[in-house]
Amino acid sequence: MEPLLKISDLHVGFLNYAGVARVLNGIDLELFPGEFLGLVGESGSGKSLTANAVLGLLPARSAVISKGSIMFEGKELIGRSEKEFQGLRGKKISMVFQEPMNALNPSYKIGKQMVEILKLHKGLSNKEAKAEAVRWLTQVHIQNPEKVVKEYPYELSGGMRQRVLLAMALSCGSQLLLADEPTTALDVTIQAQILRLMKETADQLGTSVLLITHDLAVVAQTCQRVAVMYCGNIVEIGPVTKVLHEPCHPYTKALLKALPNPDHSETELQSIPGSVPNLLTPPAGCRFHPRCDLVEKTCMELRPQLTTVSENHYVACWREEDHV
Amino acid sequence: MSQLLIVLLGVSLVTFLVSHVVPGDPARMLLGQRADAQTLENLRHVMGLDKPVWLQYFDYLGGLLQGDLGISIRSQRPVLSELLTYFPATIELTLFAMGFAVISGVGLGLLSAAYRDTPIDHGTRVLAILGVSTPLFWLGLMVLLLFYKHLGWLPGSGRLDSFINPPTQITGLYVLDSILTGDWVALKSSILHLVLPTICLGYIQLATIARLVRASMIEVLEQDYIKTALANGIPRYRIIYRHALRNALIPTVTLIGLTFGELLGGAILTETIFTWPGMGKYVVDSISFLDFPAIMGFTILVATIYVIINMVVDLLYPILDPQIKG
Amino acid sequence: MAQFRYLRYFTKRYPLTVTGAVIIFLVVMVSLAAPLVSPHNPYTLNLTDRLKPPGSIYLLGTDELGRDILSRIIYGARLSLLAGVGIVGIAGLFGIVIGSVSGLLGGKVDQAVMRLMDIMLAFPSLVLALALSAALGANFRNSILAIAIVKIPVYVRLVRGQALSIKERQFVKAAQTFGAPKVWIISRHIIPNCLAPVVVQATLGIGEAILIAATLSFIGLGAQPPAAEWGAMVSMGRIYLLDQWWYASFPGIAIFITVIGFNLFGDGVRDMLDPRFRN
Repeated sequence: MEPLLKISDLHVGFLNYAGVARVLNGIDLELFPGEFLGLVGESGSGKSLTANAVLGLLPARSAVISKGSIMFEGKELIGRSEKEFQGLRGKKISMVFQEPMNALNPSYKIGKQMVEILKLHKGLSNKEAKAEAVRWLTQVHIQNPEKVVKEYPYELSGGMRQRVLLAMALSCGSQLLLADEPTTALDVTIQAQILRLMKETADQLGTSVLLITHDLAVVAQTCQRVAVMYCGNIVEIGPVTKVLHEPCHPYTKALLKALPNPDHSETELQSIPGSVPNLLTPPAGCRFHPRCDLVEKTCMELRPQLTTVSENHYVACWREEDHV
Repeated sequence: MSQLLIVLLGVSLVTFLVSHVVPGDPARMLLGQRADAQTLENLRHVMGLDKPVWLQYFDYLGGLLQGDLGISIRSQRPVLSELLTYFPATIELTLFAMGFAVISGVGLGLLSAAYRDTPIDHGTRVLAILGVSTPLFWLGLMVLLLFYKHLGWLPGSGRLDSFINPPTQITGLYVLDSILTGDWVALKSSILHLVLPTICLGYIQLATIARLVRASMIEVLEQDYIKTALANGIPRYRIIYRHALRNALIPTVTLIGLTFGELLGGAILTETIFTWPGMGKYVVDSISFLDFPAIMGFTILVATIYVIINMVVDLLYPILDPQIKG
Repeated sequence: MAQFRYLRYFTKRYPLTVTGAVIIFLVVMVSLAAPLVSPHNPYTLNLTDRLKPPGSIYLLGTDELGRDILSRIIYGARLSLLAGVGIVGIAGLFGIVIGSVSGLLGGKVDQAVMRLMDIMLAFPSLVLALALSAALGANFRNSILAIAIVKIPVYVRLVRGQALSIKERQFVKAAQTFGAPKVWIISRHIIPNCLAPVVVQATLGIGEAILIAATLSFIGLGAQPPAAEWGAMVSMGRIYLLDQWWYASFPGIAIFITVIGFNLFGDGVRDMLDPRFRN
């Protein structure tokens, strides 16, 4: 099957007063139609940046895409004009963000904000767009949608706002949804509801979802495949069952150990020793080596490439054969 | 509303202190240094200055409530009625300056936020620093020298050419009155006379407004909802004027209320320089006659207008910001 | 040498701030060395040389009494600097005392003080300064006093805010439990801790103070003749504006440049100390 989104060897740097921070260091990622792919990693690992690069939303004055390609529906996105991106955003590729509290414009009613996008992308009349907005609110299980369209964002709860944002993101028929930590700011119970809703709606519409999160539990609940990012690299990628149960990369293992386990509540939570390196002067070779137990000479000199462990399961680690 | 009354009461207390307590002897101030003791004593009695201070305040307040701002030394007429004849001219000038400052200030602020760190942005920054550093009275003189004397483009004094009759008085604002009465000759002349004073008075506030609009635009443009709008494919110009501007204007509205006060203060100078027959020129003329009641009357009137304007701005807030209604 | 390099780096990084500092330095130097640098006596009348245009003898021309305008501007720097520093000094001092007492005591005193400050802010500042200096009597000293009084609320609010937050800190709480007297707390803890913001505010305020002082002189409430004061000079020059343009123009330029110097410098100081205002 042809991938819907294919990112290959993507390099992004940030210019600042001290030099260039190489924040994405050769990302390879494929996303297939109708698939739910999780993208996990610590904050600062470059997850959100990857999503922003797909939508052409990197800060124009400081970010530089130095190498690589992003193919969407078989067409190259890098180098497109702002105008072409505007036609894609919200229509073919949508995004929902972490902070539902502030992601809706406080000065306009919900209906107005939804109608604006529907008119823009689907060329609907005001009246049609209003009806469509109500229909989409119903789709995301909002009760009383006729009332909600007349309300301001501050009148809604966090969970409701995230539903509205989801409805907005999907309302113009996007094939790809980039969900950037969509549930992090919500209560645990609401989190589960929103995730279920996202899964249900995306499955129903056949939308592919790139779910960015630092929470492996969220990935386990919703995704078919997961990619683990560390410091601008993808270090491991594969089916969720494989990666979470038979992790190959020392970083993935460490992440899993750091996860609270409800079955062994007495065992201590482990944190990963060391800290995320400075991206202005990243470690040579494998970027994880300063924090890795299994480090050897090669790790410090050469960058490992993704290699196959089993079917669809890849890992970038020099020591992978030794400990599988 | 009760808050308005409390502030106005406070204002009256301050003006009372300034006019009755600070000078030491208001009667001496009215009569001058050469007055003899008997006259002074009589006037003190008439003015109630032999009563306790708090009683004097109540007398003063009672007078204010009846619109008694005292009698002008210069003209021997009630200060309030004097001020009211000059009032429309000041309001007309202030409103025009306000319009000029707000429209161009918001526009410039918007441009420098949209084109951040470009020459446009640096330009407004320089303009802002020049704006707060320019002595308004000197600027007025320089403008007169250039546009009136050397270029001869615009009139430099008064509200109308001397051979033109003022329009029939309806509001006292010549521009408005001449439109209402269809007096196009007066309209043209009054607009031409407004140009220089308006630009001088407005220019200094313009820069302040531009800087604030820029700062709050930049803050708003970094908000998540702007990211949402971008991610939904809304064009950049539309994001700026529809999604960001409205939110950025909310803090600016407060500044506009404060600007009005600054403009009323600045009108003192502008009117003096452009011989504009308003309250500001009246008060400066009063200074040279040591007409203290006139000066205090002006102070009270301006403070009252200023307080009311700021109250109105507070009332405007909920219209702009739906969250306050809730 | 190292200092020189630092200076050069600084100039490159903050060109506007350095420009401001250079202007202030020059104005201060000129005013200190006024008797040495001024070509003529600023008060000597010379009725044969009345209203002479700028030329080789009188670089910036003369006024209606034949006094040299350049020399008068040079001497005027003294009055303007005095006004600027005097106003923020007095206002700052009263602000610190009133603000810290009000913040520390809290309760009714605090409420009353803050109400009064709010009411003072209900007047446009030029208008209140005008009324006050008219009430005090028209002279230079009174105009400075009047402007300082009008500016007090700015510093009271600033210091009170600081005092309120410092009051809650551990070391003040500790001092209070040991029964330290309020005067001691104010002088040992609150004042030293709010000095930095007050200095920034004062630096920013000098330019505006000079401007208002010159304005009051212009309308006849500040320095009285024959004082060589910039605002008063512009005021006199106004009468001769259309025929003797130099009279009103040059003293105004002096005000303009001096105030720009203080504003550039004040802006820079604030930006350096308060990251919130950085672009």
